Amino acid sequence: MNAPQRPGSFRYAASLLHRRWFASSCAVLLAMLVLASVFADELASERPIICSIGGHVHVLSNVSDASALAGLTRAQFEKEHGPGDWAVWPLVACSAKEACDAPLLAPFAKAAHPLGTDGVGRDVLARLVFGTRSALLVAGIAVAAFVVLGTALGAMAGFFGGGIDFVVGRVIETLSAFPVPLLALVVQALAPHSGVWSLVAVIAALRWTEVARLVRAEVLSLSSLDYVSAARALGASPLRVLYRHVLPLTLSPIVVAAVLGLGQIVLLESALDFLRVGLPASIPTWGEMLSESRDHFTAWWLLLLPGSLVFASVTSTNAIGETLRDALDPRART
Amino acid sequence: MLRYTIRRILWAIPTIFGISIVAFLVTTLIPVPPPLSTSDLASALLRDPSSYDAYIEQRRSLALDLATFVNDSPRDVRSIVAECVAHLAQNDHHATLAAHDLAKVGGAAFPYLLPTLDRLAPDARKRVALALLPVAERMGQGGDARARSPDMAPTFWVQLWEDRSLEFTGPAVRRSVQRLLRGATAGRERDLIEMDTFALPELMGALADPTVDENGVARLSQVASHVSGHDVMVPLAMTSGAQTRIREEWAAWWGTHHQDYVALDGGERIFATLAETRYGRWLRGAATGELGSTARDGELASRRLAQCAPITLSLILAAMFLSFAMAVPIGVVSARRRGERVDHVVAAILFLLYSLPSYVFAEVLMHASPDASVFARAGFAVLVMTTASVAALSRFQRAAMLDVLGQDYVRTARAKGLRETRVLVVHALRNAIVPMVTLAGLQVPFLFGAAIVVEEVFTVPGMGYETLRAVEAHDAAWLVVTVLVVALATTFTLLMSDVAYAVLDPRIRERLLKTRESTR
Repeated sequence: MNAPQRPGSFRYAASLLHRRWFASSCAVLLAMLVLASVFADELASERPIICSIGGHVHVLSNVSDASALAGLTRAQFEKEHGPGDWAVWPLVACSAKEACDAPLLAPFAKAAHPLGTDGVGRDVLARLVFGTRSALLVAGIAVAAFVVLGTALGAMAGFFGGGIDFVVGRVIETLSAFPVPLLALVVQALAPHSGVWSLVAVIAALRWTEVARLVRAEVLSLSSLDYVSAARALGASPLRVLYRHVLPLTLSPIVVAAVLGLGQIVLLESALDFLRVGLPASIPTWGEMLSESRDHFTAWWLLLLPGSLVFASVTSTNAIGETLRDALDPRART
Repeated sequence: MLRYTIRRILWAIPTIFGISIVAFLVTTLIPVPPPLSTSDLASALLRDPSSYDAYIEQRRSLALDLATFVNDSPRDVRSIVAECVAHLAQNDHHATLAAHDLAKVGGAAFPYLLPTLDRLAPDARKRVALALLPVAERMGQGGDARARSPDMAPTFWVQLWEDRSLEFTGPAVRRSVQRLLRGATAGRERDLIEMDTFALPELMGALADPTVDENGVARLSQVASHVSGHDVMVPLAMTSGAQTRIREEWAAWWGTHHQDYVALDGGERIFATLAETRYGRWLRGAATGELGSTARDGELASRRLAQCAPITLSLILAAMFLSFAMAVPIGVVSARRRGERVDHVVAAILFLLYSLPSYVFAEVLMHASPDASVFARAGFAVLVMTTASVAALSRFQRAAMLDVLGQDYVRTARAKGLRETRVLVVHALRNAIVPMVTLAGLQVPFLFGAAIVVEEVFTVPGMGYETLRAVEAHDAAWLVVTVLVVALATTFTLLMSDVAYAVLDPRIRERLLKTRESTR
């Protein structure tokens, strides 16, 4: 057992994550979701991944805009392809946005639509995969934004105190008085150009307060320590002391807050999509699929499949986040 | 204790101020009609003066003519006169509009305009004097040929001021108004009409005076309509309802127009710098509960709120009560059995509940029993909201209980030979339950957020359900009212729970004040 194995270090956190079976399986699940969203085009696309038609080889035509293949569907290709033509198709040869020529609301129809279709004949698997992409993308950007914002403001408030602290404190208190879903949906409803970026901006503007509160408390207690005074006495400028000596030690609570925040944002964003005030309707999302299930009471797969994905992703980030907190913050252990 | 409460209330003031700013900023997201250019306005004025007036009135009623937060040059009659005279003197492309505006301001402008008329260049003097022709017509002097002729008009107005300047004083107007109220004769009414808009401040003061009777209100309103050009319907047979309506209409009109007829000095000017802004106007409306009517059926937003709020409030309170009732025993048991099988099972269940998306759970319930009655759906709504909050509360209760169970006095109680339930409930829980009070305040915004989705799924006609209907109808008034009310309610409950916490735990008073942010 060597030195880094003590509680509080990131290596210890990794080993604790490894030791807890539930948290580690959650980590695997989350990694699979990330992979699915990265390779969404390889899982579901109306165009082949690689194909050779009439001597021309199209590589990754599912990602690039291959105008030569416009209008090509898998059924058509298999019926009409000439000798020497071949193609490698994605798991589902169907777009997430447009209806395929499949029966509406078919549960687990055929190999062509392994998870069935929805009320307008779109493939459910394709929509789940692209829904994963939009959920993780929005959550990732929003979390990055509010962590940066919260760290900067919280650190300034805790380190410089005085007027900045007062103002930041009042702003935090003000923003905490609003239920986040309410303000987010009101802004999305009223803003003239609501879309992905307004959603991310609203979430970041409302959620930075938690990170700021954490960082402020941490910076406040760190700046009274002797080594900080020592750094000051050596002539380091205040910004250097903050950046080099104080902020690095606030990393663990920030990481924990970011991981827990990821699940919270996925939850918030899918709830807004469920209420149809989140992302634009042209983007496939879990929440929008769930809201569609309200019109089709018998189509249980439209409810349970995206619902369990939301549940699974929130559970995963919570399990990982809490394991990290147990490992990184020994005081919080129970 | 009182000192703590007062300090806590003072702390809340900047928060309430901040909340009002956020809610106001939400209103600025609402799309507004774009402003017209000066040349468009001038041609609109030439074509149809009433359409120009309607345009100006519309922008005023939305406070679009004002700065957002700080009005560095608040409009008053003096600045309007100076501006209009400057445009008329230069005869630039604003001149048509300036002539119209000056005529609209009318008699109120005389003390700032007529004494200086001689100092203008001859051409400018003529243009200004001719611009005042509609005022002469309002005053009943339109028949005077001098007012109409470009050469004679300046003399007409200068002479009028020489003859009548003594009447254009506050006390003189007040006397005329009193005379009119004592008994209406054509002569007394004409006295007021001859002072034109200069009489408006006194007329409005009398209209706001509750001792003035119905006939007085009718008379005053007729004179005011004549001089201001703002029509307020006066029925032939006055009733007390009509009287209230007339008073309200004039009060609202004066609220947005008084700066056209009054000169601001000293303190008033400084006050107007902050008050005559879009934010200031909005804040005054919010303070008096006038936040507009819903776009859907024109009902007052505040009245609609009074119908929906009790439903949502009872959902929230029921869910809060249930989740506290469940969380306290769960927390106590799992703290007592720390590390045992029960603790692990409870922790696992709570963890899953904690991550369960409430809207998915609600939707599953709805799919399972689509034909549920209203009461069953309300019960479902409470159930879903309870599961959303019980996990966090239980975990908090467990941690608080663990804290207390490690204390010496608990060991002493056990050593005395007390029964375990008595130790747990009487000695330990009594202290461990106190920190839960702070969570009660934080539950309000959380449960309201949950209520939005849950009410939508179970079609419970509360605030959340109404809010989503308002989103569909782009009903901005309702959305802003909801945001404001919920945030103020949250601030209030946080304040209450902080005070309650300090009452229950005297140690906390000083500490809470010093480290409020970091402990939360």
